[in-house]
Amino acid sequence: MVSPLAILGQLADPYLLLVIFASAFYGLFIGAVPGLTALMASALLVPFIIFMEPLPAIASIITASAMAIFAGDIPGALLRMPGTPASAAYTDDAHALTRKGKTVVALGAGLFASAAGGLFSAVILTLAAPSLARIALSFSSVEYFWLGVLGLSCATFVAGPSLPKGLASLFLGLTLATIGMDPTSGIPRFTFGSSNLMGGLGLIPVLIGLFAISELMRNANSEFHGHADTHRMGPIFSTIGARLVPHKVGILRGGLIGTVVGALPGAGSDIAAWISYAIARRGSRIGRKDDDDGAVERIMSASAANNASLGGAYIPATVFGIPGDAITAIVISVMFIKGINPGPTLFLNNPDVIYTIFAIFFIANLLMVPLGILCIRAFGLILKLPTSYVSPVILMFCILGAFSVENTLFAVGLVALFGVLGYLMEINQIPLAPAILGLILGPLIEQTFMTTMLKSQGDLLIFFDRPIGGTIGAFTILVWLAAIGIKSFSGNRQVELTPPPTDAAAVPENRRAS
Amino acid sequence: MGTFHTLASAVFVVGLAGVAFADEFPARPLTIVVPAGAGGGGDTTTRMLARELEGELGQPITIINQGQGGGVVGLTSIRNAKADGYTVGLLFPYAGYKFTGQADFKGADFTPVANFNGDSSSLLVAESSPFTDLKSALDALKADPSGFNVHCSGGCGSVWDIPVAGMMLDYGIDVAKINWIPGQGAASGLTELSSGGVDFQTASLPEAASLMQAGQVRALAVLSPEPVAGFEDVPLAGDTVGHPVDGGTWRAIGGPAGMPAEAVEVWQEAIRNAMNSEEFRTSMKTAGFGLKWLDSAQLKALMEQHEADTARVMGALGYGK
Amino acid sequence: MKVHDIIVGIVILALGLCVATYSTTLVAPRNLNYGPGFFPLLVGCGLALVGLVISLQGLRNLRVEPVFVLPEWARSAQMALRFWILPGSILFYVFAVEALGFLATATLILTAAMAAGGIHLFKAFVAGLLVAVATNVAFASLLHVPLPWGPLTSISGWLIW
Repeated sequence: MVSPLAILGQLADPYLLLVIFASAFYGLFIGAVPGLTALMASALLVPFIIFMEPLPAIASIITASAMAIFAGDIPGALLRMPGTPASAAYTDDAHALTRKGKTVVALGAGLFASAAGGLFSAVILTLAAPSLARIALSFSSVEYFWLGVLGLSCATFVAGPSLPKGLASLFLGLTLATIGMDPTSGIPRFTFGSSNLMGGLGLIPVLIGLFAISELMRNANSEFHGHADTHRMGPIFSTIGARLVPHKVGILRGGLIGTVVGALPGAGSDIAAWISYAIARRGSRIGRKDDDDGAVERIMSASAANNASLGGAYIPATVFGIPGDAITAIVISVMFIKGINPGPTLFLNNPDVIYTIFAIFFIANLLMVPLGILCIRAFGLILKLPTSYVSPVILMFCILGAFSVENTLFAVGLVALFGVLGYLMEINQIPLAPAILGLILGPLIEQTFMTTMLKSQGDLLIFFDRPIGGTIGAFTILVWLAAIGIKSFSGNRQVELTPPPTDAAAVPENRRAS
Repeated sequence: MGTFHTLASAVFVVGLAGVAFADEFPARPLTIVVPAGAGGGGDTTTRMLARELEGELGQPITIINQGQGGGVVGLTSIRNAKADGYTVGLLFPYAGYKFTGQADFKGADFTPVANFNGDSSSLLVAESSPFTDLKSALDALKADPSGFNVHCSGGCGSVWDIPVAGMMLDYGIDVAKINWIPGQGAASGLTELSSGGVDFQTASLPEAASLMQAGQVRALAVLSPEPVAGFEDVPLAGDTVGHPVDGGTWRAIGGPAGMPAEAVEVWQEAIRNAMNSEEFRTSMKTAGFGLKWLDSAQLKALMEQHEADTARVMGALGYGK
Repeated sequence: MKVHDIIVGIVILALGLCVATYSTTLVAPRNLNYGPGFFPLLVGCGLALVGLVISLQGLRNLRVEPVFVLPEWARSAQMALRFWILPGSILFYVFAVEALGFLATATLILTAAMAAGGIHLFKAFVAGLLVAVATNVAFASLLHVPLPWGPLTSISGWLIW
């Protein structure tokens, strides 16, 4: 075992602390600006950290990505533009609270749950990394397929008032996901001979277009909704302190889901947030309610999950050198360059390095609370500027965000296209969130299905052949049956008693327009 | 005021220098297009090389990552770049795209400059596998090719599986009957292998190193004519099949077709010097990448050989029909 | 541009049918059990099906909902400008940035968008230029995002830190 003093000694390096602070502000900035994402924050760090000492290099990515994932909540709540894909699951809930003048509740819930989720995963990471990694390694394509289908089931929960329109959005996302090379045979689909389409539609440009640009377009002739009340936000600590206790189960559940999903290679913070959100929405007593308390429960569960998944992703990364998500893929390559070969031998030969890395997780998540509050306040100040100044600057960052992730002008063009599409979908009451879910999960589901079929040579029974896979599969089917049952039951009642909320909101708008 | 003066005169002098040597290549920043995402092997090796090249060439180098479409987008950017020598790119085995209908890159599309990295493919099995040597594995595959799954560590018809398939073809195995399983990179294959989802995997040794140390997977053979540094106990494939086998990936710098000869010369010498620098050699070794120097002419020959080999193996695998 | 659910459903139905039809033209290479067209075929059918359901549900309130609602921006030229300048300026960026460089393109876009929002042209230009310079320094000079330099290419060596 390694002595705590050795770790403290490593952490006491002023240069390391400076890097952590600088990365924290950098991450908060990138995450809080609509259009710029946590993955982009990490990718842009590569040219700098590649030439740093190993510990500051890894600390920089850990801190920046954790801060960016939280900060993505801020524009989500205030402007209804999720700063990162991981915040998309609960953007509508958070924005609804903001419109009621409860910005502090929405963002405070996200902030404290993010920090708590991050700390939870750091504890698990420290205590159980090796044994958990072994479980994750026993997952083959069958288990991943069922996990993807389970994630897709979330679409029925986030579908909004009209199930067919939610499904239409989901299928649209799945269709968009098939553009480009077929993951199995490499055959081009829907590319019409264009090498740009061959690369497929990047998630980030589509997300920026659908959420950020469409929101700018809808508000082109009005002030932002969040604008009015950000100056009277009130104290965050006292407002949220009292709310943490009743929601502790939700936070712990989110932390657990996030850590587990994050530990699975290929499933990142966005998927963790969706699954946790869906479980809170249907599976918990508080989260089922449509009032503020229910919204807080859902926000807390999902935001704990997306930050916990960051820690979870380091479990397979440090133990076996297998990335849990795109951010840890970058971390692993940085570790290799620095001669820290992630793997079981790392725990034997350099335990102080690995435990210092874990310690940085604790620091980053604790630092998140004060810096996060600072960031929320600063963002509120920025929104006091007239919309006519703010909206063109957001537009510029949307262009920059798409370009810096994809490095093609084609991606910038996609932002405009999906901005218009998102506007058309939204105005016809087709929800945007399921489309993003489809785009994220489409490739995972298709690839794992095809791989499994290739392995079994067409025998569908393989999906229930393996103990873990079969169990997840049976569970998924149960969830589906339950979901359809609940949906049709409560859905019918809703139609008879009251019109769905968004329809009601849309009526005056239509009148105004006509 | 003093600072301003110094600054102003510095700018002036540097400006003059820029004008005076404007006709000498390179006179402005250079760009390297990397058809791979940030953090991957292609990106890492190129960034380490570029750091040395910045010193050699005296100009900043911008790296543009375009990993979309398994590299098709980035390679297209290199092919379509202005052939002035200021934009070059990372070339790697590219001939496979033609057979899956993704793109048709030919050696004539590019100007070869120099090769700097090479890693050999290997055949891996899980610890629980009944096969302990290459011969028994190849014999089993020969007897019942359709009974086994081999993971390609990426799209099939690519850098790791093609050389292994070529070796099997020479051994008399009906490679078209084998189940070649595609996946997202070597990591996905390693999870499949250790969870029992596939029987074999083709990948480079450094990619599998941590799971080999953990005792989860083992390498039956490496497709290299001589032992790989750090993996000296992995048997060479050539010892089993009776003739030297050399196959795997290569990474080279190349430009669009028609690059000026003097620019090629400048890049080639800079890369040669970079490869001799102690710092570059150490960082490549630490990160687990093999060094392989080929000059422009040798690289051209390698590319031709690569296209011929790929056509032969892909044909036998049943692609492009 | 709100249209009746019947039309929304028909558009989705048509899209689904196109996707499904296209996917049947994709043939499986070699001996694959399920080819590249399998998944898009399922998705296309799903899309067509929900499109049909949306149309049928729309039939129920055929008279209640208007067939077509004029969008807000169609009420005045000023409003249309504010609306269309957003996607328009992104497209302008795509086509102009290689030639003009990021600095000039960003300044133009920011100035135009701010001026369209009612800010005095000179103030908009100053604000636009400041933001453009700041983002250029942050992203191109400090973070090394390969933004085009346009006319500044020959001296860009000194501007990348």
